[in-house]
Amino acid sequence: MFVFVFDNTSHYLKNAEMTPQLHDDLINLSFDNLLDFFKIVHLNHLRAFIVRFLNCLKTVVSIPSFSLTCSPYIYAFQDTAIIRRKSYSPDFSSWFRQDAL
Amino acid sequence: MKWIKWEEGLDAFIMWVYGPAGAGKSAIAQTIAEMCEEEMILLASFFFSRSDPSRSNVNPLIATIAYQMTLNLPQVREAILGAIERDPLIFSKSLAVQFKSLIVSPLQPLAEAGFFREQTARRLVIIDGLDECSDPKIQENILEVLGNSQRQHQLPLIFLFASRPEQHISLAFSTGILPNVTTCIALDESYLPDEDIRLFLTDKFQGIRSTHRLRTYIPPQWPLPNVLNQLVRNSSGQFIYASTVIHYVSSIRHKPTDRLDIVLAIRPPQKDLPFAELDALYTHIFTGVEEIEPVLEILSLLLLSDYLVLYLPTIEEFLFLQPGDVELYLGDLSSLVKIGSNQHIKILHASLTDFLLDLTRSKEFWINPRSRHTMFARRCLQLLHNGKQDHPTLKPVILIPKKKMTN
Repeated sequence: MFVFVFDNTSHYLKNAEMTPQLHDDLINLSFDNLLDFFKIVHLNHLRAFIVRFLNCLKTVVSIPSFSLTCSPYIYAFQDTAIIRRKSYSPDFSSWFRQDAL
Repeated sequence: MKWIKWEEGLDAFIMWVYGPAGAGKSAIAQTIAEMCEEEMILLASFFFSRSDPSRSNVNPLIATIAYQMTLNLPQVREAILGAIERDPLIFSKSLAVQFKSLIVSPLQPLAEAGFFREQTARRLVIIDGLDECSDPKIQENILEVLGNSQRQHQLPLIFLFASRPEQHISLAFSTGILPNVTTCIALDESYLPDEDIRLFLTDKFQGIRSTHRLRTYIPPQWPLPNVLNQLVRNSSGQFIYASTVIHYVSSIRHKPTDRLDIVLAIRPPQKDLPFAELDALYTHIFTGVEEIEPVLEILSLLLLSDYLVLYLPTIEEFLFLQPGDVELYLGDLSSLVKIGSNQHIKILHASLTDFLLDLTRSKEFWINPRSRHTMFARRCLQLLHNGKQDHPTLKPVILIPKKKMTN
């Protein structure tokens, strides 16, 4: 079921209406409870998820100058298990900027 | 059938049967396929269906046609198998390459040897539900590839396409070489569908009278001619209305006579709308659902997910339901939705999707895509945030989302 969630989160977010509740959910989002899942999920899939998710955030929050350094969403996102798991991409932040932002 | 048997001497090697949802395109395609199979004219058929992941994209199209060719025309079997042996990756190639290797090349030697010398020897390929193939560009590509190959190689094939008259499909049939080689049939008022619908209903009611579990309670003259007339009138030329009535009436949990009385008592509020009777029937069925919100939630998930197919356990977990709940909730919709033995839910007709996503038609049962997406997005974030590391389905399975499959 988590694979379904993993694949569909961005899809639903992209088509969602930005409500205060959704905004709060995004601000407070943490992936810390999914550490075990991230250990076993395919790295390409994880990477695709992050890129899709960030792209989607850009659309959902509609901030023209959206960047890694200015968005509270990304602060929340950066402080998560995904970002801390750096071993699969040494220049993680660079492809963040290229691919997603 | 006259076109298929070359009785009218038409040059067209493509027939396009088009009409709105519920007009009976698939029923006609299915009947023609059965008739032509009996007369050994049918070479292959493919029925696209957006609710069936194995038939909602172009990937299996040529493979299916080629496989059926080996059964219906054994002379091409060796050539087709040889093509696959020479290039095991053939099915991942473009549609044009697949068509050339698996259809054109195997047929050409036979054609050159005079196997199809008589015009009447041409064989039929049926492709139904072209508009239900996932990507409009691919739908156009199918028409382009088949049209061009046929013109270039003069194959002994004729193609019957059935689809809704979507703009891009209409445009494809009216540009390039297609208008010169296509004959069209519109399933609208002009083809007088009432008699076909009457025949269909008569046949199905006969079936219910003779096979239903409670058939002993059904009078032999049921339904009376005036009732049949009313049902034909209510259908307004749409087979889907008649078909939904039959599904509803034949429920094994109810007396068919009672169910038909209920259908006859339904009165649409505005009779002049194009789907008034069908919508009234759908509305009635949804009104009878005991707990409507979870049912709409399940249907929303089915209609709005990025996956082609959803299985019961995934739906139940995602919506925080208990195992077996989805089947229970959808029990009242058995005339509209089918749960297969593979635990995959199938919406029986595309018109139900149209109904549910159109506020003016479904009203209180409307599935609002924006708010449902928001709800599901929040559910996803909640699940990601909370995690459930000990979950039994926590395994590294990579499923293919819709977008990737269409590519």
